[in-house]
Amino acid sequence: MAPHSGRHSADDGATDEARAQYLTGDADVTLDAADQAELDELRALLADPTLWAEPPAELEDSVVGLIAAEAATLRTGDNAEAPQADPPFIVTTDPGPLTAVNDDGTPVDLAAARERRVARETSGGGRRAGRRRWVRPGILVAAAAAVVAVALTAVLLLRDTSTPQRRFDVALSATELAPGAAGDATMIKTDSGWEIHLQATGLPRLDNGQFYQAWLRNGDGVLVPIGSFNEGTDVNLWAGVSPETFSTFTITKEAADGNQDSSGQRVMSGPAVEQR
Amino acid sequence: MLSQEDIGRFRAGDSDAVRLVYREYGRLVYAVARNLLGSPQLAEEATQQTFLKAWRSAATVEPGRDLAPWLATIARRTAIDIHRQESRETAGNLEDVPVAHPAIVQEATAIERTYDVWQVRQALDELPADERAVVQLQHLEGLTQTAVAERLNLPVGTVKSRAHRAHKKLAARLGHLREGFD
Repeated sequence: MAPHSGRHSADDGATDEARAQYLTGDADVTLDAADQAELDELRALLADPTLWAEPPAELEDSVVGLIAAEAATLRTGDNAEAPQADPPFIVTTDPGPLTAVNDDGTPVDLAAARERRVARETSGGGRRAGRRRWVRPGILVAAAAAVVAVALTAVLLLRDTSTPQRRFDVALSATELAPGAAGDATMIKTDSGWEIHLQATGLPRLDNGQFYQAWLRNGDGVLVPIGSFNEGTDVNLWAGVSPETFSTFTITKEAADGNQDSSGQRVMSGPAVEQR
Repeated sequence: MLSQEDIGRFRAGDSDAVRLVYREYGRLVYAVARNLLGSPQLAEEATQQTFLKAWRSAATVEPGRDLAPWLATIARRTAIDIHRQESRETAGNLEDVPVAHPAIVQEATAIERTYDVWQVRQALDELPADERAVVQLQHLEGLTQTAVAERLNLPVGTVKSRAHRAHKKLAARLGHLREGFD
């Protein structure tokens, strides 16, 4: 599309008329070469199927769920790691290099924050180092037993960490069919498959031939059923496919009508995010 | 147009605000990603990543600034990153590619095309549904106005008047394409 002088004024309304006729396919209309080249490009774009492509309906829930999960992770991370006295910050990754900024947009002084943390750790260590220890002979046996227990625990822990459990978390977002619903799910890899625990609130109980069905969906839209239930609190489900590839968790309303396909009545959905 | 309050809530991770931003720009981001990547699955991935990156860096958006050019830029960069990841396994050494290869020398054109896709899709979304349907059948399916009338079960005169109205709106709305975003 060629350079153009700008949005048309009332004076060149006729030009818009002629351009519209050319776009409509009127072969008799005469345009200058630049206009014609620009409109040919526009026609080529209009004939491109990708321009008209509609995103799948569940993409909205996936985007909302993904950001909700990230926000929840950041909040958890802040509570666990960020000292209360340190200013809150947001990590920005795009565009430009990784930076940390305060809420007001000023850069976080990472060196100062590190120094404050080191100072706190040092003062805490000092308190521990200064603590007096007084061990009576009568409790040495108990101490020895405790040492053995600690050693055994350490061995067991080391054995566990040699085969770390993979875990995915899902922050579920409600659809318009269940506006008051909220929930989350955890998915743990076991030898039998993926053990899923769902905790959802705001879903009215369904029974008398109606129930909720949970699914995992992959990028090609293939749905795998992972269990059905009447109420969303404390639900245990199992999946034989990995959330790594079947990464969208959805819940639909179903009826026991002999049709095994999804009804398409989604009440909640969210993306599975691996926890490391 | 989103309010500053909406953008502030988006920045805070408020689900309702994220949904508002998605509903305003999701189709446009998806159209850009789909145009650059082709694959529906990759376009979905690019759309998700675009909004996640936008949310992460929402604090950098100047107050009062339209999100559209910023989101279009993130969408384009994200789609290109995904394209590079996908093609890494099959691509040869960059040094083996001729210097005049279109993939290397047409960067500026591609940026303009991204903005064109964004704006043309936005203009189409602003058309009334009945006019949009006529434009879609004419350009995407290559139907004549007579064939469009048969497909929509409408008189040919109605199709002609809808097509004319729609194309006049598009011609006026897209007359400034090359000026890019504000």
